Amino acid sequence: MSSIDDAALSHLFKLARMQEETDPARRKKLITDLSKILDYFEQLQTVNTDTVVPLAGATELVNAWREDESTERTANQAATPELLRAPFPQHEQTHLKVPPVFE
Amino acid sequence: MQWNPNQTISEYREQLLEKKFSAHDAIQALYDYIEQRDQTVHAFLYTTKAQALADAKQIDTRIQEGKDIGILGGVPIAIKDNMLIQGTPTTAGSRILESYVATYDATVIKKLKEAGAIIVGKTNLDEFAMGSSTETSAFGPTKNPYDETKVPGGSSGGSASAVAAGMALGALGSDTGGSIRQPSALCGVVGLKPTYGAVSRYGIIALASSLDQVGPFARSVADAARLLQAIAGKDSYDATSSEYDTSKLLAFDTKKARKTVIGIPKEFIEGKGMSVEVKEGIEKALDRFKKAGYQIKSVSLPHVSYAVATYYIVLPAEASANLGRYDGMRYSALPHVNRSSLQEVYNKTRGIGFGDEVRRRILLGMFVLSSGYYDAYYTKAQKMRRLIQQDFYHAFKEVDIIFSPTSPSTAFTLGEKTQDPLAMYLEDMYTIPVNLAGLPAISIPVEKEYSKEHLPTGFQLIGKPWGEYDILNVGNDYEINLRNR
Repeated sequence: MSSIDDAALSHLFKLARMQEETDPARRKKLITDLSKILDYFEQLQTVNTDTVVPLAGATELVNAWREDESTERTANQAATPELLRAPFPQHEQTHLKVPPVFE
Repeated sequence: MQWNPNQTISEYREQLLEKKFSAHDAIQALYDYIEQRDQTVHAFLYTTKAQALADAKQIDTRIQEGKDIGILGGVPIAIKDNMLIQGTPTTAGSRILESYVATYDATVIKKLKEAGAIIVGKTNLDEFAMGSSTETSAFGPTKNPYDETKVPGGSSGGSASAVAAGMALGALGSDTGGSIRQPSALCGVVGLKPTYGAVSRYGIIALASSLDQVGPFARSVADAARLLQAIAGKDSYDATSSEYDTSKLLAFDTKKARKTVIGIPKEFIEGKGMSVEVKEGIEKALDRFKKAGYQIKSVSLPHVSYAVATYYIVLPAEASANLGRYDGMRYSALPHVNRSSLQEVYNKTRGIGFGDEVRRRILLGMFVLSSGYYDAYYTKAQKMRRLIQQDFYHAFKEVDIIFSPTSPSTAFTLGEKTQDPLAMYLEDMYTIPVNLAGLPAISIPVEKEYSKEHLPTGFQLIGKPWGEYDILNVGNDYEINLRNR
């Protein structure tokens, strides 16, 4: 049905916001592996699913709504602002610092 | 005292409550044992000794005072390193989270603590739980305790081998396509994947949200039931979790068990790819069930052979979205990344931080979700998922539970399948359909004892939705009454 060539691989890296693989041998292996997996998917085309309703999840649950109100969290399940900020590479007071978004 | 690596939770607790030893001494002895044993097995990414010893002291005080210690009071439990414990590193086996420290407790951790469990440490896994051998971990592979040249299975290989080697009496893992059951089979322990929604996923690093489910590893079926009892139930932080009546999980009843009708899917039994050892193992187990008077019926799951292909579309699609959050910002930064622009930080962090298998699956996810391919792949896979689920529902009109092998082979050699992703994916051919359908399933070792010359094999019992008790009850009968014959 479809396969992945070098240009398509570059496009996928771009979509994934991932630095491209530059080593030619590793690139070739990646294309081979992905193409093999896509070939394996071909078997699904032999099953007629025209009238089948897609199933997104295994539960019969529909949207579970709840009131938008603050609740008390138990001690260790409370991620305080300080704790959430800690892993950030840079912050200033209560603000998180990120590199410029626009050039 | 010396640590006994061959005991169950029930045996340990009985002695603890009879004050044959203190929890503190037991946990100290356990760490002495881990320091030796884990040098070669490498089940743990790190241990939490100081906290564990402090927790053990508190349990001892409660015992002295005659207070209740909880259903897992003093019991050492290992945790797969994709579950958050506040203040401790959580890596998911990935370089990208190498310096991340969890900011809150997962609900399963909170529940284990409330039940009195002592958390021993965090166990190794395939990177972001993507793999079936624990070899994709950025921190080196875990070895099978029975033969250290072999893999423990995966992705929860660290938890499985920790329990198999007696470095914990129980463990938690996560199972998206077989990541609890397959390593259980390869390491000769019991592993249970509950019904989707039985256990909260809050605080678990998400792989594929519609498939992920947390469950226990144990040395006996009863221990697995006890662990499920501690962690199951509705959680307001996970809208997909459900109320769960756990009160009868341990009420084993042999008479009731033997009225169970066991279904054998002909597609699994006649299918290709099963090794001689596994075939012998499951025939033996099945024979024991027959001799005990269980009614065995052949059933058909006509679409089950498409499950692996279906899964490897659904999983990368969901995983590529879930892993979008690793941006070099929110969950700690990698060193040596040029921070001149946001785009640069994303690209570099994700390019350097993810390993080969994770990268492959993210790219695959991008492909199947991209415009022009979405319907041909992703929608098609969702339709196949319904057909697979319906197959099980039809079969359950005739039988109560379904029997199958857990994995197609016994533990394979380290490095044997790392160069061929498809070969690795097929390791989960018997377990994947269960996740797609959202059902509970347990893997149980065919025999009580194994060795380097005779590596473990497991069989799988699949239940109806919320039918954990049925598979635990039959599994317990096998373990107690049939296996030792």
